[in-house]
Amino acid sequence: MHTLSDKELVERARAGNRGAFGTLVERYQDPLFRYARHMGFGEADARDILQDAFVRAFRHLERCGDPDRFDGWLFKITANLCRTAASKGANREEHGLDEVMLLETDPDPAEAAEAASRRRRIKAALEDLPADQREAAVLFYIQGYGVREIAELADASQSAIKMRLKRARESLKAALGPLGDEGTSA
Amino acid sequence: MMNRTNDEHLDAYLTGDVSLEDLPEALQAEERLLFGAMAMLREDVRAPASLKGAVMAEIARRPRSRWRAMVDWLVRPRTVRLSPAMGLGFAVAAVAVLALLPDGRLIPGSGDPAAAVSEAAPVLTRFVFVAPEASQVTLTGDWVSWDTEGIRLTQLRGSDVWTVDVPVPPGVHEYSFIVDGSEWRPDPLAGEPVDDGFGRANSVLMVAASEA
Repeated sequence: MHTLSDKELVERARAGNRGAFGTLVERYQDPLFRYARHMGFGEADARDILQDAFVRAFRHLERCGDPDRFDGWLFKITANLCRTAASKGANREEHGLDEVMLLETDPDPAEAAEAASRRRRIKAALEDLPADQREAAVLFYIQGYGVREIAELADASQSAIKMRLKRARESLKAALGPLGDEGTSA
Repeated sequence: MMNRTNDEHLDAYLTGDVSLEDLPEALQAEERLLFGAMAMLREDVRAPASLKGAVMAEIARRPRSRWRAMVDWLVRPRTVRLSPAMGLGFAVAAVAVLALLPDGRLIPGSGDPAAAVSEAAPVLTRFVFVAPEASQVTLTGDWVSWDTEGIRLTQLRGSDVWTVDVPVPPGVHEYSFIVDGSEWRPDPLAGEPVDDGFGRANSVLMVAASEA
């Protein structure tokens, strides 16, 4: 079966095919939702941010200069909305990912509690980073982007991203040091 | 072989010039620890099932207007490739158009060419922003191509007021302040901000040409 490329879908959506845009939503909603959650937003706020991002993207599809890079363009919209929401204090969720995972993933309550405690520390260390360092760390260590891609996504120079990553890893190392003894090897 | 410092090793690794396995053992261990710790957060979180439906309902409720699409099409960045022959053709056409203007004026009805140039001269414009918690405030806008390094504002001594005088070309411009290098904020002293379509609100500035 032929899977339509982003470019083909964007062109169809521009021609008024809303179904084509729906396919793009399906394609990118999970990675973008994970990004928003890792940037510290609760489920409801992350959902609102993504809904806003997709609607804006649809309304301004003509501004997507390179439909082959629709994913990067959409990410920039989402990242900007995350920054705006963070400046309003929306990324301080009442319950974190760890509690959700505790309930969903581990049948052994003691192990689940320990894992949740470790996740909570890691998450707190990440949330304590300045927003630009947190963004770089999430994209590099969690979402697997390279420095060049992060620089493009964040509208910053590669040297600026490397500096953010170096500062982030120093802070994370300091905060997570003891975790090394608790067996966090992947 | 050249001896590198840890910082140089890390730099080469982050740039992608060397792999994780090429790093000295201590740095490798640190990176593995960080990746391992972060992997604990990399759970399979999925967007709520209701998200797509909500997006599609919103799109259906307020579809793209043809006018908005046309404006967006006009401002869409694009690469134009001209062959040498086409380039020459455009140049000849441009010279012909200028030659046809009455009195050889650059802009119809603008008087002499020197006046046309002075009309476009930048106007020194003062920007003021109040930010008690900021350690740095910069200004950026369309006339500097949204340079994220921005133009630095100076904090007035003993106050929360930041200010800068900037030459701005006449016309209508969008701009924003950036607090501490990452937080984009519209100017509260300006009128209603406009949506830039990318999740931010920009302030609008109208600069009138200065009297010659």
